[in-house]
Amino acid sequence: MKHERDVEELLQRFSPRPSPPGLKERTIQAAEQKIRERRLLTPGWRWIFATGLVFLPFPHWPIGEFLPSSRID
Amino acid sequence: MYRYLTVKLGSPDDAEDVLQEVFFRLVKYSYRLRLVHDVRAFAFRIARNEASRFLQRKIHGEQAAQPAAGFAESLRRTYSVPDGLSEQAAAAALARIPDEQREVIILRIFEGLSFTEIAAVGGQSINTVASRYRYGIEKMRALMEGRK
Repeated sequence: MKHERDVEELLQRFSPRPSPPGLKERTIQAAEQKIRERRLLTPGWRWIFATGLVFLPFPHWPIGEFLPSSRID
Repeated sequence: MYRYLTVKLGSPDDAEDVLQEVFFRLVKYSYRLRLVHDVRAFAFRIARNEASRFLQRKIHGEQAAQPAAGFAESLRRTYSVPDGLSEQAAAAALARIPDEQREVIILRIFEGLSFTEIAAVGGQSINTVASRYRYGIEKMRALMEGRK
């Protein structure tokens, strides 16, 4: 136990160096930028975009037949 | 947290990138922070997960991740190690113990987290964390005394 404390005491003598200048500002700026970017592509838009991509290879697929308004006759 | 990430990733630039992602996630999940019992442990948990994700991406991208190889260097970059022989030996020994033991020691001694908090950070039991700490210190002592 004594030796365990010795090693701990040695490690506690290590003093942290200061963070690089401007780290806080850069971190906040990057987070703000990411938040802005993610707002442009919200989960809802992501789904719409993905669905559009799925249907892109089938431009003539009669999807309208499945809609209620097209079943008049 | 920046220091923890630098030591874990072995590069200050990588640490800064991951720190930005961690901060972004903290802002994104800020509504959840009110429900979190220990915000500091929660933040470190996000940092740990992001660091692991970053290292995995690096492994896939470069076929080689070497955080441990540069550990001694990154430790000296983040912490001022006194010139004494014992302190230098302690730094060298810390670089040579297994990653999971080193991480617990760093979080406990350098970042001041309790065993309960470290257990929450890593998703392990308190007993596991305490054992890793004890084995890590014991192994460091053995290395410093020239035993194995």
